[in-house]
Amino acid sequence: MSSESKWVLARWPRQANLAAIWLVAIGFCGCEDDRQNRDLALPIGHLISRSQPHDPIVPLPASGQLDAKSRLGKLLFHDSRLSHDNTISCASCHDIAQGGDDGRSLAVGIGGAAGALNSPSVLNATYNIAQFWDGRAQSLEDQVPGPIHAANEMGSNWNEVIAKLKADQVIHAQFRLLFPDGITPQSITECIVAYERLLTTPDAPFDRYLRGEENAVSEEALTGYRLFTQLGCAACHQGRSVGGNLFQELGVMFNAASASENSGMHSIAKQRYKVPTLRNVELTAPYLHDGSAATLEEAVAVMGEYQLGAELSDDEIRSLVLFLRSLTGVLSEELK
Amino acid sequence: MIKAYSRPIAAMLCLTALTCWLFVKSRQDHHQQYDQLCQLLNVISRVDAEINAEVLKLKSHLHRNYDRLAMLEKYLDTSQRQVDGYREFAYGLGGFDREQLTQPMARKLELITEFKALHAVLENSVAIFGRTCEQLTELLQEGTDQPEAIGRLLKLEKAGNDLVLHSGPHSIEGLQASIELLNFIPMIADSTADRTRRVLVTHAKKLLEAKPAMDLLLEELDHLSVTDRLQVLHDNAANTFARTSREAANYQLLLLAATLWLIGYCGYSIFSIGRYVNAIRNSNEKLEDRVKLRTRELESKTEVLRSNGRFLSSVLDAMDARICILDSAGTVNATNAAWGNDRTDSDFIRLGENYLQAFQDDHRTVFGSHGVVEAIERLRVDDTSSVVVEFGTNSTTNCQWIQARVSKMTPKGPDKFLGFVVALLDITDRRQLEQQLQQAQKLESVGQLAAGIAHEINTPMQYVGDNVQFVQGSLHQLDAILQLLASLDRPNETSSPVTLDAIRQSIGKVNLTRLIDQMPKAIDDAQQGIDNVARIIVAMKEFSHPGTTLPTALDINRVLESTVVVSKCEWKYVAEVELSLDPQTPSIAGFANELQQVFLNLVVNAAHAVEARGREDEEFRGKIRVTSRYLDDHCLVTIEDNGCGIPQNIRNRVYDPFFTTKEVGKGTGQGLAIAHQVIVNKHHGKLWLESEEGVGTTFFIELPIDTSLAMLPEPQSVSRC
Repeated sequence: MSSESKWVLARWPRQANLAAIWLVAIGFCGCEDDRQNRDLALPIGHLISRSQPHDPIVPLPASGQLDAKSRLGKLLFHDSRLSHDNTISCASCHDIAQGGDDGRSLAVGIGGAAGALNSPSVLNATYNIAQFWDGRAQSLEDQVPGPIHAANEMGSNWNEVIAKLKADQVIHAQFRLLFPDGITPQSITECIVAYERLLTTPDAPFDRYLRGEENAVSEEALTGYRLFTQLGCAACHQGRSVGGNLFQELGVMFNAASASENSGMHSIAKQRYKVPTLRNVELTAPYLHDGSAATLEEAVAVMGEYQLGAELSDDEIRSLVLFLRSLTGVLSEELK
Repeated sequence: MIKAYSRPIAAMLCLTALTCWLFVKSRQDHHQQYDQLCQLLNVISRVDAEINAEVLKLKSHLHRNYDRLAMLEKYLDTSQRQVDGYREFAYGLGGFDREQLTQPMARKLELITEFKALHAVLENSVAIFGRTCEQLTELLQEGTDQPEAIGRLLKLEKAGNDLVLHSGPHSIEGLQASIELLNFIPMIADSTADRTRRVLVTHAKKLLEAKPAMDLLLEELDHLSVTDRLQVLHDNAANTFARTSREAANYQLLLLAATLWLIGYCGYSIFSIGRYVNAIRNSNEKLEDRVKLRTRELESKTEVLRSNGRFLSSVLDAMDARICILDSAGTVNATNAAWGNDRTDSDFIRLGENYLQAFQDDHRTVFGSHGVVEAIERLRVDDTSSVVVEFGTNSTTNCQWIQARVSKMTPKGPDKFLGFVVALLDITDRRQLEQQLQQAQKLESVGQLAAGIAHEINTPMQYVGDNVQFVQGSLHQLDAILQLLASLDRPNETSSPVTLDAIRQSIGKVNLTRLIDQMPKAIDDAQQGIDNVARIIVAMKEFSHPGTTLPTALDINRVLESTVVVSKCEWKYVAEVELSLDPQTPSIAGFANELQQVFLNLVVNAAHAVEARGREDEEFRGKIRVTSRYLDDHCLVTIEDNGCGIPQNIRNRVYDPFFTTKEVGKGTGQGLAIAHQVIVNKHHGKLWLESEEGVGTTFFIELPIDTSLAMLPEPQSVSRC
């Protein structure tokens, strides 16, 4: 209140003075304040006003359409010139048609350089709270430069990439149409991110079921869903993406004494990773951060043991896998 | 004038700059930033509250996914970064450390991340703990009755629930104890039950581990007060805003003052400029008046000068002489009316003509003489201020004598030489008069000589007459004899015969011997007398000849001789003349007639001087000595007398025309003037005298042998007069 009254007091002489010095102001009318109210970019009211389902798993919203920027982003995403030796594109590790990853245990960079982790899917990455396994990139925009500069991934840098792209008259012309500055790190990032934001997979059978389509999933899959919630999988794998909105310790229930001898998870136990989305999970084998689980069943069993402290029966695993398969959504053809 | 304005202009520029600066300062308006910051802080506050509410909802299982919490997290993160955009404004007073806001917010974000992970685990463990307890109880009840084991299980369940519901040290110990008890249940052979018990124990341990951690986390979350910090930030921003607004208002007041000042100053400057302009106009008018006055003065002066000029030119125009004015280079600058205004006149001199053209052009018959040109050339090199030359013209229609007087024009002192004034005067009349005068003087001399000459002639004529009479008488006496002699040649005639006696008789009557002796003598004498007369007459004739305009070769000795002869009657009775002539003397070019007159004048003067002395002294015997001598390049003639001499006081006036010491009617005063003019001007010779009173006078005449032809008109331009 005090600040409000001060504001009013401060405003009063302004009006009087302005009236008095209008003559001078005419001379300087070019200096009139044209600043627009800055867009606060915080649609908090919008967020609060729309009530959301509070169930562990909620359906994905519909995905958007390609526009000029995202179309250019799609070209760039599939352009191997972003790598140092022109062999690797974004899509080399994140094959859109194959669930958004590469089907390898560990990523492979230029010259066959091995990565340390399994490539995460790019599909629905826009719903992730952060990017990379460890969430070091707060947004997709922060993530884009990472692989381009990583020595064991694309091994390039912005100057090199821009020089190569500028040599291409078509790409250069497209950039100049969209951006006054032409090809810059910002414009490349903006295009790729615009494309990645569209890479969502709505209309999975389970989503359809959630929307009321009773026959969208099988009875056994529903059993799997119930197990999914009862066993506690849904404690972490929840939300729109069935994961992706929190970080969790890998090996929460891991007990060194009781660990299975065949488990390959000694090394990473007790490390905290971003909980990956389980949407399209049937397409992204092999599984886990190090690709150590070749099949979904294996992955489910490992997760049950390490994360839930439960030994899952084969029936349970089968039901869970059926449920997980019902999370495979639809990617529109133009995005592939 | 520029200097006078530079200060006001500089002042006005400074004032304008001040006004502009004040305007910019007064425009510093932070209310929009302030509004936005307030809005942002409100948003953060709301997001913070939403997060707290969401945490509660998750805790109470109202919400079962973290999508909303994750989204709120992102908003909090974004808006926290946006606060940095208002750093200057919000932290303007310096009282608020950015860390004080960002640190708790970052911590809050960390705690929320932690909360999500822990919450997932805890909720899972709670759920599984409850479910496995039930499963195990069922399994135990189905199998062998083991009331103790069931009791322990129930106790465990109770302890677990106690921990979940009332967390505290007591509950933790209770659950720990129950887990220990459960481990010591004699284990059932049933593998399912055993597996269930392992799960139960695992989750019970997890519960034991996670629950206190969750409690701690929630406690910290509760105590983490972002709102207070936001309030501090908000107050800071409000203060800053109020301060800047006050400043802006102050600047606006100053701006108002400066503007009024500027306007006033502009008005004053315009007023001042008006005053300056008036002053300039006044001074301009004064200046114009002065210029008019000066112009009038100048006009009147010019008018005076013009009238002077007109006066001068009319004077010049009225003059007979043709006057032309040359500048120092010799270009004709002005002429007077006497030149004639008709451009077709061949004598017309154009202005701007060079003097060489003007005076050397052969077609200009009237002025075609080198005399003027030479005079100008001479003036150019000499110090003399003017030169006079006379020359005759070669006009075919009439003959003219021109006197050209060329003077240096030095109106501003002798050193500042501006040009020449050439005045051509037609002196034909004067020349004619002079010639007439000269002739008259000659005739006067002749007149004076006439008596003497008559006597000279008379004497011989007397004895010539006497002798002729004697011869006549003698012939008459001889007549009878001659008649007889003549009849001798005619014997047949009837007349008386001639006899010798008759002849003798006749002879007897006549003194024939004397006659024969005397007659030739008488005739010789008469002949001599006639010769004398003839000589005198020839001299007279020579003397009275009008002369030539051309110099001719002449023998100076002969001229002297003839002069002495002619003047004999003047000196005959008073002096004797001694002629001492140098036979070596060559012919010279000159005017014989005029030289003769000069010599005559000098000889007559000498005779008069001697006569004057002789009147005083009876015993005095006058002597006049005339000599000629040939020297290297000239001939020196002296006429020396021992007469009375020339008094010292008039010695320098003797050459003046009309100066004479003789009584009225006897002399015209022209003699020596003409002598001087002839010798010096015409023959380029010298004439001087030495005299001593009572002793005598000597006149010296020096004539150059090669008396130049240049002093005379060139042969072709010599007129026929």
